[in-house]
Amino acid sequence: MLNIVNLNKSFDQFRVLRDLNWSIPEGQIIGLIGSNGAGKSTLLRCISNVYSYDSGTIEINGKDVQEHREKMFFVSDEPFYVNRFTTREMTGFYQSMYPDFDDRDYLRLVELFHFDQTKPIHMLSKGLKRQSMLILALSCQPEYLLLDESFDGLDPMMRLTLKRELIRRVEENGISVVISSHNIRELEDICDGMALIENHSIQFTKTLEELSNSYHKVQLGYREAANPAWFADLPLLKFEVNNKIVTVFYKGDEATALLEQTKPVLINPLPLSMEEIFVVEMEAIHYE
Amino acid sequence: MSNVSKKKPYILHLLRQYRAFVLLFAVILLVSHPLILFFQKRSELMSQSYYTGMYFPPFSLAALTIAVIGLCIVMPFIVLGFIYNKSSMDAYFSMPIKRVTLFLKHLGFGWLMILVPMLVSLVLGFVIYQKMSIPIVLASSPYSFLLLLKQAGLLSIGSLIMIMPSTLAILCTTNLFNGMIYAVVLNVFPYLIRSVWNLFAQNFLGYTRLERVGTERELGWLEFHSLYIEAFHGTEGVANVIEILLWFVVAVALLVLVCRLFATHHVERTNSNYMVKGFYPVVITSFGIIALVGVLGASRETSRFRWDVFTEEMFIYTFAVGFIVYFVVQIVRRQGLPKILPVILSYVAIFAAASILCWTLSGTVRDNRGRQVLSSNQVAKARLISAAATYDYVEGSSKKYIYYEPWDMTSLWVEQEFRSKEEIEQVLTLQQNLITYWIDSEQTKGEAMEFYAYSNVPSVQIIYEDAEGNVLQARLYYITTEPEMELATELLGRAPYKPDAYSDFKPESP
Repeated sequence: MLNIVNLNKSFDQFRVLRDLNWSIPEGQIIGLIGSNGAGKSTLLRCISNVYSYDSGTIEINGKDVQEHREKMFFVSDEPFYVNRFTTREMTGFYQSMYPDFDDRDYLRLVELFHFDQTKPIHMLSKGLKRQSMLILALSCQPEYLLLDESFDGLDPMMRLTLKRELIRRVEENGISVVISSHNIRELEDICDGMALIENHSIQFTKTLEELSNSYHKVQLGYREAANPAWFADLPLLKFEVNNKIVTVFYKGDEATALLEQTKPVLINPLPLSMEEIFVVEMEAIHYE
Repeated sequence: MSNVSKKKPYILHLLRQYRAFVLLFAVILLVSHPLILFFQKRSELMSQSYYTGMYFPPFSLAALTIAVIGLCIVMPFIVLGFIYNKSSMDAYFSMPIKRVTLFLKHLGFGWLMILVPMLVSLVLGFVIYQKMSIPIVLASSPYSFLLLLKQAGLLSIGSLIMIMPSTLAILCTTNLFNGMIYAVVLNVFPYLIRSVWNLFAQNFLGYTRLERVGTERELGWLEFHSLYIEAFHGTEGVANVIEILLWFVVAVALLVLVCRLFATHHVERTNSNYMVKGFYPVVITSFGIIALVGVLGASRETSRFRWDVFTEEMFIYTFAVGFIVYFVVQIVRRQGLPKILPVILSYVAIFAAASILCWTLSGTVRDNRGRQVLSSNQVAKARLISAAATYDYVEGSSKKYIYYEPWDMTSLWVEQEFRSKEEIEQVLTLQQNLITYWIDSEQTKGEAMEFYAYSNVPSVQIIYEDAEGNVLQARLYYITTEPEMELATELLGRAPYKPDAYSDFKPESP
């Protein structure tokens, strides 16, 4: 397990991460979500040693993360390649860095993605550049794969292929994957859990099941127009009054009984997407 | 079971990544020595010198040394250029390799890109010389294998110091443009120090030495670039060994420093406006000194001819204009347009204070030392030494330098002592006339330089001593007027020609 304790990182005067604590469980795919500038990329760069941090510790199974660098791969939001190199030529670079680079696996991935490995990378489209980077990353057989906005630019078919490949590796090899993204819908059907980074630290890390069980979106119907004052003091994340219909968002079960006391004639639980959870949670955090 | 490969040597990747530069460097270094030698032979350039009767030493490595210096300045930008690219930094710094190891692998590879073809070039040059030289050349200038080894060793360790200014510049800046500016500044820094010393100590208004510092020879070791060119252009094979070894020690210390800078490099500052502390003061001071040295050096009262790139007016003005534009752009970027005026004013105020101080000091030198002509009562002995313009006499030095081809021609050397009051007064009159002529002259520095360079104007060194033999004053003047020429000729004509002044060179006729 990768443990981060009291991590602090500032860019000159500007504090980005403050006393951040986080545990990334093994064998899971975790989505790292947060608003712009929340520190998602900074956190991933601190874990992968691109940024040095001011204080705190990052350990894997009790040992400093530096000792596990050969088992970790960071895919930046901007794909890296040596100018005029083909993807095949780039394998030489990674083979000289990662002892576990698997050439046979690389060729399998090239075939899986129907990827032209002989074309210079600088001539590829943005999406293909990302594909090239992801193929090389997976070929290095990392135990911890950190993906920073890496799904952006991939077409739906490629995204699906990549998701399947990641899920297969998690199941077969127990690798841990952290994916930072703004596209929460994309993360929803691949991740085992989500972590929200906001206000310089991780607000929560929960499995999708925990999230869907703990967050509720309910539509209430009343015989007469609802009074917003009924809901003002209830432990709700958010509510919207529309004449006789009220939509409420809340966390936990405490509010369920209290809402029943408002005597609705209709209680209709609505499906709640991760995106809605994110928006509601963000509003709540900023309200606090 | 998958086919898991072992780590491949990183150097193979580097070789592939920089293959174009590897090839280019090899071509440059091979052309700069063995090929030049080869064509020299073909066109019989290794024949007897018209002026000296000497043979141009074919193992002079001036061209190769200049090529090595140039490549050493450029190379760090090639192999460490990734530091200015954010996606590259993400990749390199997240790799399972220590930062210092990564840095040393890149820099070491860059060094090899220069060293390997340079050594091949040296060996090829040696073979060409041994096989193709005419017997008389071989006899007069033997090129031993031991000398080859010395040259190879000194050039190899020497190249490290050439690499350091650019490397330091790259690690102290966050974008390519500033990196290149800084590299230029750091490379010319030793020249600036020496120029400033020379300005006050020797080369301004009569060039009296203040003490035995600041002369061309004594501070020459500061200029590590010219040190290497000098080291390999003479007939003796190699020179300045101690200085080169000293610089190697400095280079190793700088290497430790740059390793530390790389290990603690802040990736988040890549391509930002962030500058390390000291960047602006160093840049401003350096450009300011260049401008000041240029202004002072351009004075027509500076009578001693010495070619100096900083006295080229076009060079100064181009530099100054470029610097002002750069400075304003940087201030706008860093401070914003509204603050530009106070920031510029504060910098100008600092620079003005420094300039005033500099001018005051210069004025003191000028008034107290520059125009002063001694009274005949103070002088117990006057010495007159004459040489052609190419003769490089260092004040107070006992050495007598003569440059050979291809750098210069030899010149004759004449010295005469005067002890009688009448003769001393004649020398003082000569000096006074030379000073008056020079100060009244409307020649600009540029005109004077051109005149001296092409006319081989004779110079005369005047040294006054008191009864105890202490040097009261030492001056060097160029003589361009007929009466003074006649007087100097008359005075020096009393001296005998010294054919044995030089142990290693005996001209056939005076």
